[in-house]
Amino acid sequence: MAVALAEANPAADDRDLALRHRYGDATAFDEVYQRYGEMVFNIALRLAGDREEAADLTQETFLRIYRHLAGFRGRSSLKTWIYRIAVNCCRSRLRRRDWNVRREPPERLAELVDGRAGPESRAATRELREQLEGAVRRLPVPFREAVVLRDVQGLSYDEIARVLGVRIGTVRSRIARGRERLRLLLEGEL
Amino acid sequence: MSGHASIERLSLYVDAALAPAERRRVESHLEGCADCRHRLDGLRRVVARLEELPAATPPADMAVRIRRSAGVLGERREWHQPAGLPWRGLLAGPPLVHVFAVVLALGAIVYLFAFGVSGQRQGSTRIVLPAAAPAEAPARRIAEAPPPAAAEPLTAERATLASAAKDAGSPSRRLLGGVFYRQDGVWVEQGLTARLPDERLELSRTGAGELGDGELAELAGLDAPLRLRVGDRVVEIAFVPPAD
Repeated sequence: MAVALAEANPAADDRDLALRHRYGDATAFDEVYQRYGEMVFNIALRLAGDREEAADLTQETFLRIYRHLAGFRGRSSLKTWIYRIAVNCCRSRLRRRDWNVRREPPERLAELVDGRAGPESRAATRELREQLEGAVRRLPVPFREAVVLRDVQGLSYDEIARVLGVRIGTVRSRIARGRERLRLLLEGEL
Repeated sequence: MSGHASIERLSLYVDAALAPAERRRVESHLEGCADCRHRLDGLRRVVARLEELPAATPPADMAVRIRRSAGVLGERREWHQPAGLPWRGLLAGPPLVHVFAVVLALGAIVYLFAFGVSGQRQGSTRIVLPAAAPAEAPARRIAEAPPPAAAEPLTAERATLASAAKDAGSPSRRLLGGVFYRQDGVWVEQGLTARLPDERLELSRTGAGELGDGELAELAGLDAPLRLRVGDRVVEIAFVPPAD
């Protein structure tokens, strides 16, 4: 699922939205939500893995956008800027959960990929999608962010580097390692 | 290529993001390495499944929740005022509340100008804004002022900047702007609204947005600088948002 915007002049349009918001045009913020609401909800859902939590995170993200939009100067695209806010909103919550996952016994993760563990313990009846979503949730946050931005949201490596504020080499590494972990987790299931 | 292809190379290969020469090297290695072919196939399947994940639709009330929280919409929208205006919060209620709020606000302004921050009465409660800035009180640019030394006592000017920085992290802030004037060599922020989220205060060009006689200046996150004259005090103010 790639999010793409078809705009004649996205940069000018972004700045125009920010200026309208700054000068009190309430419809500007509505427009930002119309354009980016689903995008933010989806990244929150894929990063957090839960609809209710994703809705909370979406709300938090847009409140931050509301407060900061007047200061948006167009140095990055509005889409990248909003992605950055959304990822930051999700990060602290995700890290807490990630900590818990890392402390799970290794056998627990092994069960997920071990066909000999028995159908009842490895949830063989679950849909492939649910397995995939579960595996994504088990990725360490930095890998999860990179993989979701790349393979679910369809961002380029450059865009991901700007969103995450890291070098492109780091992005390549995180994507590769995240994908590899997913491959190992889902070995035999895909 | 010695040994196996690295996972990063295989991942970039999946994305067709390798340089041609590098791609050929990987392909050459893949021809003779079943392990790497197996890993590559696995990576391709992972990417394909992720790309197939359907887009989810936000809850139907998501937009309303956000608008209500942001104070942009909701049941009071008919009284909505521009987001940037400092008196916006005061005007967010029914008309009777507006009247009460305005009376309170004017009372506070008159009191502050009459007695000053030091509490000394200045002889008149009327706010007089002369048509031209007196020569002895020229407009000053904060941006040109030397940065205060670390050990320097906190002046009103620095206090204003410090409060702006502090408020930037506050989740409760809602209003932009404030009223500023210069008194006895220090900047004073007066309090209808005292929050300056995300902006740092910076004085800018002269002459823009001059106020007429009797006008009181309230700023609202404007990017056009305002020049304020309050009595013999002249202040120019602009808000500079943080870098994106």
